[in-house]
Parts: sequence; structure tokens; C-alpha cells
Amino acid sequence: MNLSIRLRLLLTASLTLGGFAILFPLSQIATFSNTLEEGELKRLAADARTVLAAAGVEKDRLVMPDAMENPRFNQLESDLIALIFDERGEVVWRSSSSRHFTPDYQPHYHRDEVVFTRLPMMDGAGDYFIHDWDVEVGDKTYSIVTGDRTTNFDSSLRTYQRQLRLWLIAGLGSLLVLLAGGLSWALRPLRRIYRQVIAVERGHMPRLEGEYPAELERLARGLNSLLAGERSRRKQYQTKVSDLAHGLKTPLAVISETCRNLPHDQRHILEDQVQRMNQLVNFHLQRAMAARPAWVITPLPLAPVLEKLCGSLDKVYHDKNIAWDVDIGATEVLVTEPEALEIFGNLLDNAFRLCLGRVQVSARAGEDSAIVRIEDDGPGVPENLRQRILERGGRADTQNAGQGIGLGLVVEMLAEMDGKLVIDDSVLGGAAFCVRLPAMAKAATSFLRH
Amino acid sequence: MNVLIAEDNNLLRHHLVERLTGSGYQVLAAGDGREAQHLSREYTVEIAIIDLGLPAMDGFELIRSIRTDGKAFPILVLTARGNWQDKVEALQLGADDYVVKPFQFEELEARLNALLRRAAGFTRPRIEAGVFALDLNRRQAFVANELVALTAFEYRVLEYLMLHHKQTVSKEKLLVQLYGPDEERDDNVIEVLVGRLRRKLEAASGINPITTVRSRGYLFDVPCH
Repeated sequence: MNLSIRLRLLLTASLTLGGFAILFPLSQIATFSNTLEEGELKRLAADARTVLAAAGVEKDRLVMPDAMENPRFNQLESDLIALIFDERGEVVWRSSSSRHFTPDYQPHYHRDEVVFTRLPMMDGAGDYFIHDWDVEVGDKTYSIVTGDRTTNFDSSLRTYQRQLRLWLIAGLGSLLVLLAGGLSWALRPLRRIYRQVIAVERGHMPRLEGEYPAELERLARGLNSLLAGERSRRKQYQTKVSDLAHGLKTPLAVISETCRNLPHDQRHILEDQVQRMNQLVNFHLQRAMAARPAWVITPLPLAPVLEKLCGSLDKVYHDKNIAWDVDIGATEVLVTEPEALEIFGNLLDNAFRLCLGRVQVSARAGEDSAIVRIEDDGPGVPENLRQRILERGGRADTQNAGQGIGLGLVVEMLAEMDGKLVIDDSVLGGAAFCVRLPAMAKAATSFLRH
Repeated sequence: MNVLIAEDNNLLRHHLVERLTGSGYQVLAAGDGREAQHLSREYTVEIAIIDLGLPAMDGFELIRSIRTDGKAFPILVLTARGNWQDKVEALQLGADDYVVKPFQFEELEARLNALLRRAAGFTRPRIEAGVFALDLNRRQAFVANELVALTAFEYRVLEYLMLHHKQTVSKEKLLVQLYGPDEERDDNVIEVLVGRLRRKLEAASGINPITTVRSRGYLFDVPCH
């Protein structure tokens, strides 16, 4: 799965925050609950010691006072209760507050061990925390059981849970805002490098500029160095070929002009040779001028390029009064403008030159390519000639002047970018030249635009 | 017909001047962009041939400057590179057609004629006006489809008058078309030429299509299409 860095970071952060949002309150509530229970235990243990302190022994029998020092044991409506069980499990004494206490509780006699538990009442009237402490009086063992309702404990726990939830929501919200801001800030250099790469590719900037974080600095420097090298090599190649062309073409024009004074057969031979040299020069020159850069990542909207070309050709073939139409919507392809101009310039020139009066350009977008169809109402291309005219220098239109290398050049340029040219019949009655060009996958286009 | 040539290669410029002069054009030749700009401002230019790779001011800049000056004459571009980026840029700046070097002079001349014809409002290389006809490519005149024997100067006068039909053309204008802007010639030369032309056309058709507009010049009075 090819997710963007931003999405990856957001997913990781969201998962981390989600995990935290679940585990943190659980641990906090458990800790708070334990602390409260420990408090209850200590308080009930102290109450048990108070009960034991109030007890007296007469003739090996436990004697309790009529009223306890802690008034809560004496009040009927009090939640604090105390009971003393003998070894047989019989209640030998109970505080006044425990009259309504009807537990299903039997003391457990474990020497040196205190029992602390939560006990539901049989009538469903709420729970009790029970503290059970065994003491030996003379040769007898008694269980001093103290208890208190869990109402306060439950209420405190609920309040704590509510507050914790509120703080957690507020905290997570703030964290998310901070995280989004932080991510945006952290990814800013990546966004800047991306924008600059596009600007460089479009020729708006010669190199990546500004300071980058250490992790990207080397990448930016490397890219700049690659760019400079590639540009210099491309420029050198273009300049050399351009110089060569300029150097050769004017003399060729002069030779062509001078040889008109020669006898017809000699003139014919010379003109033929001049034409061949000219074709070679033209081919390499046009190829050099539209040399593909090291990378092409920005989709090029085709409509403006095609309209510009058709408008220009309309001027050149003005006398033919051609009705042309470019209906390709928002088709975008992964080629540079010079490449698009060379490819479609050659194809549209053929269409305008050979048509009777109509040229039509349409396009269909695929998943990762676009097919542009250039149709005319001219004589068309017979099937047996189609392959031949796609080869360099091949010409089917012997009645028209032309350099004869256009289609071969288009084929070679398309091969370099994994494109293709196919000749078909047009519904207009002439030829249909179908060009398949690389385009950005739809999902990627949508991602880049965000 | 004044043609401005802007070409830096001396030999090619020389050949173009020779051939175009031989075809009856009045040629203003410049070896760089600045000189061509100066000529376009100082003289009445009917059409220009501009090489894109000029020194001092390149062809693109020259075309832009000519159009900025408000000159509407047709411009034919000569380009050695032949790539579409240059062609489209030149055409968008205001050029009307292009020829890629090296070229056959005949092709260049045909393009020139087509542009001149287009500038005069004609779409075909054959101009017809009733029984009169003119083949701009072959440079021949016809009356009722019969060839009329005209001298080169007579043909050029007829061509200019027919291209500018329904307009009064002054003698001075015709003189410049025939001899160029710097030649001092007597108006009588034009009167003699037009007189001979009228006689030939009238003898073949029985109609005199060229009217004299007193003190202003001549008018080809038959609608051309």
C-alpha cells in the first residue's frame, strides 16, 4: 500500500492516541479504585480495633458495652456496622446500626489473616465493604466484622471517571490540534522540496533553493547536483546539435540555390543528396530540442498546447479554411511542453496539410495513460503503407512538400516515454492518428493536488 | 512590390536578393535585426522574410517589434531549427507562415505569393475579374482564357492593380513597386506602361478595365475574386 508520508504519520499518531485513550483511563481508574479501597480497609480496620477495645471479658465470655464510643455504631440509620461472631459462626454481638444488616456472610477463620471484601446485600439494598478480623480472647476465637456501605466509594469513583473522561477528551483534542500543527510544521520542508521540484521541472526555477533540515539537505544538494549535470549535458547536446544544424543548413540552402545552374541530371543528384543531409540534420535537431529531461512528474494540460498548435496551423493553412476542433477536456499527460509540441506539431501539420476541410482532436483518459486521436477528412493512409510511413523518413504523401521525418521522430519520441502511435481509419473519411501518452494514475493526481 | 529580407548569411541573402529581384520584387535587404527594424520603419514594406537566428535582434524580437509598430504586412519566417516550439512562437508573435531551411526558391516564392494574395483578400492563386484572369504563381495574364503577352513590368503593374482592385493606386506607388524606393523616375514611365497595358487588354477583350482617376492615379474597375 503506497500511502503518503502525511497519511502514514497521521495513522501512526491516531493509533497511538487511540491506544492511549483506551489504556490510560483504565489504569487511572484501577489505581484510584485501589487507593479508595485501601482507605476503606484502613478505616474499617481502625473501627474493628475500636470494637475490640470496647470489649471486656468476664468468665471467659465476651462482654460488650451498651453503647459504643463511636456514635455511628449506635445510630439505627448509620451505614457503619459491627458484628462479632464466635467460632461456630453465631453472632455474639452486633451494633445497633446493624439491625437491618442481613448479609449472606459467614466469617472465615484464618489465623493472622484479615479478610476484606465487597459484599452484596441479600435484599439488593446496595453493597457493603466487609472487614473480617479474627482475635483470640482466652481460649476462644472471635471474628470481629466491621462494614460500611459502598455508596460513598461508588459515588467518588463515578465522579472521578466523569472528570477523567472530560479531561481526557479535552486533552486528546488539544493533542490532536498540536499534533496536526506539529505534523504540518514537520512536513513543511518536504512540501517545500516538492513544490520546488515541480518549479524546477517547469523551468520556473533553475535549482532547489533555501535551507533544508539536515535529513533533506543532502537530498536537496544531491538533486541540485544531478539537475545541474543533467541540464548541462542536455544544453550541451542541444547547443552542439543546434550549432551543427545552423552550420550545415545555411550552406545546404546555398548549395541548393546554386545548383539550379547545373545541368538537370547533375542538379537532380545534388538536390537529392542535399535533401538527405537535410533530413538527417532535421531529425537530430528536432530530437535534441525536445530532449526528454531526467524526470517528468508534473502532468501537462494538453488542451492549451493543442489549441496553440491548431491556431498556428490555421494561420499557415488559412486558404484551406479548415474547420478544426479540439475536444479533449482536461486531459493531462506526463510529457514536457516541448515534447508535446514536437509530437502534436508533426501530427497536426500532417492533418492540416492533407485534410480537405476538417480536423478533429479528441482524447480518452485511461488509468495511467491518455489516448489522443487526431482525425482528418483527407485521403487517409492505406493499410499496407501504415507501418512504412511510421519509419524514419518514410513518406506516403509524395505529392506534398515536407521533411519526411516527422512521423519517424514522433514514433521515436513516443518509444522513449513508453507511448505508442497507431494509424487507423477516421469516421471523417481520412486518417486517424492515435497517440498513447503516459499519464498520472488518477489516485496519484488527486493526492498531489491536495 | 517591396520585400524586406532579414538574413544574416551573406551568401544566402545575396541569392535571395538576386532571385526575388529577378522575379520582379523590390528588395530591401538587412543582415541583422536592428537594420531590418529600421528598414521596416522607414520604407513601405509589402511583405517580409525574416530569419529567426539574426544577430543584434533575433527574429522573434523583430516580429514582435514590427507588430508593435502596427505594421500588418505578411511575415514569412525562415528557420534553420525547424522545431515546433520556434514555429509556434513565431506564428503567435505575428508571423504568417514559415519555411524551413534549406528550401527550394520556388517553394519560398509560392509561399510569398500565397501570403500576398491572402493579404489582398484572395484565397486562390488565380484572380479572376470578368474575362480577365491572373495566375499569380505562373505570373501570366489571361483574357477569356487566352494568354496575353505582357512584359515583366506590364505584368507587375496589372498584378498590383488587380490585387488592389477598387482602390485608386497613385503613380508614385506604382513607381516604387517597379523600381524601388530609392530610384528617381519620371511619372511618364508609368503613363507609358499603363497605356501599353490598356491597349493590350482592350485589344484582347474590347474592354478597358483600368480607369484614370484624375490627379490621383489608376483604378482597376472590374471586381476581382
